[in-house]
Amino acid sequence: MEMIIGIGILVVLVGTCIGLYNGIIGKHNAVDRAWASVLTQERQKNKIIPMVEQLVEQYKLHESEVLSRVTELRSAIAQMSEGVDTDKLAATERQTKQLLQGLQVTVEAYPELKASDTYLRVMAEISEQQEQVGAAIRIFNANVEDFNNAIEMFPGSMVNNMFAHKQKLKSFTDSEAQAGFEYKPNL
Amino acid sequence: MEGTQLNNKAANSYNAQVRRNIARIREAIELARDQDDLIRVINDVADHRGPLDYRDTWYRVLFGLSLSMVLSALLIFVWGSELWSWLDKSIYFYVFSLDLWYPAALLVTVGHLLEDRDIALPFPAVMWGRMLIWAAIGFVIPLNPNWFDFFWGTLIDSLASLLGTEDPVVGVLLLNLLPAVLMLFWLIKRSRWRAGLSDKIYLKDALLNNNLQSEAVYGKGMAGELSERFCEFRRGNEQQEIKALYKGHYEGSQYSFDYQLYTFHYVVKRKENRLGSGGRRTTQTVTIENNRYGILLQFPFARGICLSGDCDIKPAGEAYTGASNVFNRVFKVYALDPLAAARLLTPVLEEKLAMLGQHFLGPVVEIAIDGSLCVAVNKELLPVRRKFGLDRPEIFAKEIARHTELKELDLLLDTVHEMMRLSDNNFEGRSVGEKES
Repeated sequence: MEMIIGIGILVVLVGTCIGLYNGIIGKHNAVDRAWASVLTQERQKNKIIPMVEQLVEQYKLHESEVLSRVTELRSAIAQMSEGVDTDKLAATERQTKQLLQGLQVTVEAYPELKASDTYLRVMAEISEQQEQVGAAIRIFNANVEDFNNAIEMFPGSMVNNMFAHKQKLKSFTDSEAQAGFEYKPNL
Repeated sequence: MEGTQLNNKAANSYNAQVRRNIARIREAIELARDQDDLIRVINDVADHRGPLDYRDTWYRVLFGLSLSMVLSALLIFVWGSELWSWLDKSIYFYVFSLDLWYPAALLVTVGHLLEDRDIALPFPAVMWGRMLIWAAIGFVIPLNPNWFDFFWGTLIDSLASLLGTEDPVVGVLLLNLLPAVLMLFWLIKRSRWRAGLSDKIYLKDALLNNNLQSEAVYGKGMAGELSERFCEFRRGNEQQEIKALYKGHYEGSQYSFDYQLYTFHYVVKRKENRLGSGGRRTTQTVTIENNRYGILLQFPFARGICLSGDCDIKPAGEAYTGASNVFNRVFKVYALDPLAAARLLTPVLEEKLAMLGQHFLGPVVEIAIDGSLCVAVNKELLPVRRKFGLDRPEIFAKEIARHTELKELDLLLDTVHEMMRLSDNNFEGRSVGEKES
């Protein structure tokens, strides 16, 4: 009888360990997947770059800094690798903001461009893409939180130390936005 | 609407007037075209000149008689000869004199019911006089020499035999129990007509406020047609029907579309094994009635995808997993083409759809192969949440004057609008329903 109880307890323990191990791996893969989604959304910006270049050609905006911003954004997107690299993501986001600002400043001098259908559609697309990137980053951060909880909370921490050996992941933060706050959380 | 009048002068009983007045109010609610019409109806109730409350004294007396007869029969049935002799005799006399006064009570009730519907004896002019005639006819019936045998030998015996006994007391109990119960519910319903009409006003106001129009329901047929397109409607093994259907129009910032709001009713019948007394296992058939609520519309941006937050349905297609853990906890995704699901479920949409899981139980978002979309949930989308009613018309009018928001419905419609906005192509030609910028 004692043997059966012992085997029963062992089966439950092994089952729990397998469940926790699979949970950690599943959550790690979910982070990977969420990062891939961020990359996909960032690369979607490649779709609008030719449209912006077309606007530059059509309205002779060569003297403005829009073209250089486009080049910088294209280069930033190209540098984003498959592995999780939040710094490169931050750089791409910065370039996107600068391109948007540059476009907005430039069109003030070109009322015809400001009213054009192409410009309005490009702006709508950029705004939608920024919305998608924002959501993808939020999803990535939520998945990172899920994963970190899984490897840091007991008994997941024990299973991770014994079998999975995964490291805590860093979530994405906007250092530029953070610089605007005097308050720094003591995390 | 007006009943047949045997005598115009006589056929104007108090309850008939009340009935007509309430019918007029009901008609006015149905004909109301805007909120002002509804407020006018409420104010009319507040200042109503004619009577609006039934006088049900006789029906209450009859309920009392039936109830006392049920209790007396129970006393005799349970205690029988153990009762004190004087009480015993009185109760026996009361119960077994039923054949003498029962026809009179029945005919007076019939007389009252006919008067309520504007049908009255041609004489005399006063109502109590007409009731006396009904009672007199009732008291004449027991004088028939065959009446006693018919009442106790046929009627009461037949009723008693339903429970497998020959005890006339059981027959008397059954003869009075059913009318007593029915009378109780009927009297409660009649005295609370204001609550029913208040619900009607509130619902009508909600429909008017939210541009919804009631549509003809072809219940079981429509449920059958929908079940061919959506697995959401393949529920229940006993009965499936569309109970309510409304037509609506949504005006969004980028898209406007027509939709149908429905209530789907289905019944699940299953056998359950239960442990009875003495440890015996018994099999019982359990019937569970359920309602699902949702919207139907055309969605031209994707097809053959089902996002199921309810394990009771079995969608077809390959499983697809979204990027968000939160979204994946709410929905299991099935698609005929997983690439179509990948294109539809962008990060923003996953976030918006995951929100449905916070507000609803068992949400299902299904896009059929023909491009029609169904979003269904367990929560009522057109709920009656009034605080006041026609019993307090002044405050009720103020409540109705406010805009009735259908928050759950708005959330579903906003989510569908987001689905459209995020699925379209900003550089392609405009599709049907898209607004000019």
